[in-house]
Amino acid sequence: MADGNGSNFDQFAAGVFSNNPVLVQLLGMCPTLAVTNSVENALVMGAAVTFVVVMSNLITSLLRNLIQPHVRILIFTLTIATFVTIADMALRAYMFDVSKKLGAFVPLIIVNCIIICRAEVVAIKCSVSRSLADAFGMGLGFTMALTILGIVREILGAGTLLKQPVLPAAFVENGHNWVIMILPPGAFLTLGVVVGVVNHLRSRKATGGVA
Amino acid sequence: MRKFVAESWLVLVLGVVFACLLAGTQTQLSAKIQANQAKALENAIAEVVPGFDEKEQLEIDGNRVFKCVDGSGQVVGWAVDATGSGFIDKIRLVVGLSPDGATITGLKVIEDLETPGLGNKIEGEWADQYETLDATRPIVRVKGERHAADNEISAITGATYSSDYVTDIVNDVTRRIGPKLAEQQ
Amino acid sequence: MSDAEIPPLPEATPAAKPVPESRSEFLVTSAPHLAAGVSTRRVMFEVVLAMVPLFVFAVYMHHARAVVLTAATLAGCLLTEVLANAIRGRSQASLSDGSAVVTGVILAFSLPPSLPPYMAFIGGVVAIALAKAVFGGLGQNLFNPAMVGRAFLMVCFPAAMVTWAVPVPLQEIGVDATTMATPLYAAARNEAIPAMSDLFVGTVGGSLGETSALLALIGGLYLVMRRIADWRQPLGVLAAVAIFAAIAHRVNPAEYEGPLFHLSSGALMFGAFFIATDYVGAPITPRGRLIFGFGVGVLVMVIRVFGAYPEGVMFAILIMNALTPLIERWTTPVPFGGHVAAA
Repeated sequence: MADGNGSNFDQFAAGVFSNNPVLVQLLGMCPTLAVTNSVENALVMGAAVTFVVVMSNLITSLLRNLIQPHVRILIFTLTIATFVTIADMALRAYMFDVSKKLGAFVPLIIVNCIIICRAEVVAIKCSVSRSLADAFGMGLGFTMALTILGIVREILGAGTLLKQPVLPAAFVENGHNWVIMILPPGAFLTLGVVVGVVNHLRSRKATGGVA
Repeated sequence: MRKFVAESWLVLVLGVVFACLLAGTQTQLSAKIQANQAKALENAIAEVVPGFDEKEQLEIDGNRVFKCVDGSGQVVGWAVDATGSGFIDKIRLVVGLSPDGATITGLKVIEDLETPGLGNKIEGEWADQYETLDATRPIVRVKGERHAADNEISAITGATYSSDYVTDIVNDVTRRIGPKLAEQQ
Repeated sequence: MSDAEIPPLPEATPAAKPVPESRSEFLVTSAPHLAAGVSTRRVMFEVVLAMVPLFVFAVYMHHARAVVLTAATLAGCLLTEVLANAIRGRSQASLSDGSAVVTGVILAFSLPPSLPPYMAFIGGVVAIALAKAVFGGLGQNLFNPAMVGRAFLMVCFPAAMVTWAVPVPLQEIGVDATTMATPLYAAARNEAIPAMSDLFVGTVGGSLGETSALLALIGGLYLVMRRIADWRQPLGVLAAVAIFAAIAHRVNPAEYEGPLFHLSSGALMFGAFFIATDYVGAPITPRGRLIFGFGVGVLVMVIRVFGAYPEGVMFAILIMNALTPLIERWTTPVPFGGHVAAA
């Protein structure tokens, strides 16, 4: 983990690539599996999580010298719950249809371990700029992973991308779309393949491109 | 006491600050959220009861019922807001009925969590087949081809249960509320 | 009988199945061990041989479709096997043992004849990749690969997987449609079912190579007599189905068909002799195999009689595959002198 060493940009890049919360750390599996059946859902969920992790890291980092160690989890949870509720209300006000589809998974961001993990590992020890760099990296990494799953599942499952048809209409009309991709098993299968590819790339990198 | 305050003042302060923040957001957005929810219902009613100018909300046997009238005060139809169990979670829908309550004029599902790609087809064109069916006797769900004259609807392939749940809700509405509509005119 | 590893002498040394170190607790073995003159390749050859009459019948029923569909699943299975070996840096030796061929043929036989060939190809890829390669190859898989491939297609393309083309010979005698209900589907809806003789011979609508109970029975008996397939699983399946169907028919003859109908319809006979006898997915203990077969039969009937699907052979096999480790624990023979407490 690149925590504490290197530049702020390294911290940011680690969240997106080498320490990606979903594809490398395998955290936050609940929304990853549940809401990636379309790109739109994935992007909105990613944006909501990014907002919460940024605000949580910001507040935690600002208050890091005031927080008593044994009440820190309480403060993290309080902060996260507040901003999740704000995000939920904002979605219901401005993106009503998407928020209906995301259903309970927006309030459930409260228990998303990526966010509390970043507060505990980075924000409580590091400067505000470092914590923000970390939060944006993690948020972007999370959004990217969800979007990759969303692209695969939406194209194969519904023949569309961001609701725009990308495959001929006959694909869905004649039952050629992969229904399994819109269902939960499709999320597991896609995630398995994507994590497999990422692991393959990482092992090649680790051995200098030999394996 | 002093130790308690020293350790917890931050939690208390944050609690108050966050509560204010949430209250502020709520005040700002609640009107818009409610408008969104009302709009989903409005659109559904407009879809199931064609051509009305005004509507009046009543309550019949525990359900919200909208009496839809045209410019001259003539009742043109009824929209019943009904909720029942679905395959995964509750299904909420609006049933449109003719002025005498004897014919279904439309059906629109407004809330459901049925299986994407299968059961959630109840949200789309599938529901149109309820239109013109007889509301004085139960609707029968069949697999394969349907005969509208026999008050049949055909199930979604692979989602018979979702089809059954919707039919159950509609039958419940027509049985309980349909006969009471004529006297409300 | 698909997808076996080095075949055991079916009767004497059931422990010939290679078991990795980590699973050695499942190893059931008793001396003496004899080297049997059977190789995986020979077993698979015999299985394919026993399926040839079924394939010929499928060609008679569905003409070119039978050839194209079988070629598509075989291509999917074999290409994936090659790819999996390459990715894992293994030799391509596993290709020549014939197990991927058996998986491909069984999968093809279980599909609706009108299925687009590319879907059959995807089924073959999934069967080998998801059910076999990721578990570590032949002998390591928990579930029957062909049935996993079919289950994937069932969830993925539900409409195409329940559309049954009218066989060519029936079209020629004037069945005027392009699709028809299978006998099991008709029975589930209390519609007219075909004559019992047609059902037994297999001149009815249904999966590509599973409709003929007669030819499956002949091929299966051949395998049993050659000691390639154990007689216990088929016996268990057939007995369970016959008993269950007889009871249901006695209780309500108008609603439930009798044992003969259930034994001759759907994938039952083929599944009993060719799928339930798979070396890898079934228990290795003789008593366990009988229980396995019986469990498959009961589940098939539960699904047919009470379930939403008209046919249940695929789910029955997969569920019993999952129970196999448990059955093996129940049926492990007690060593002479009783168990010794673990050190």
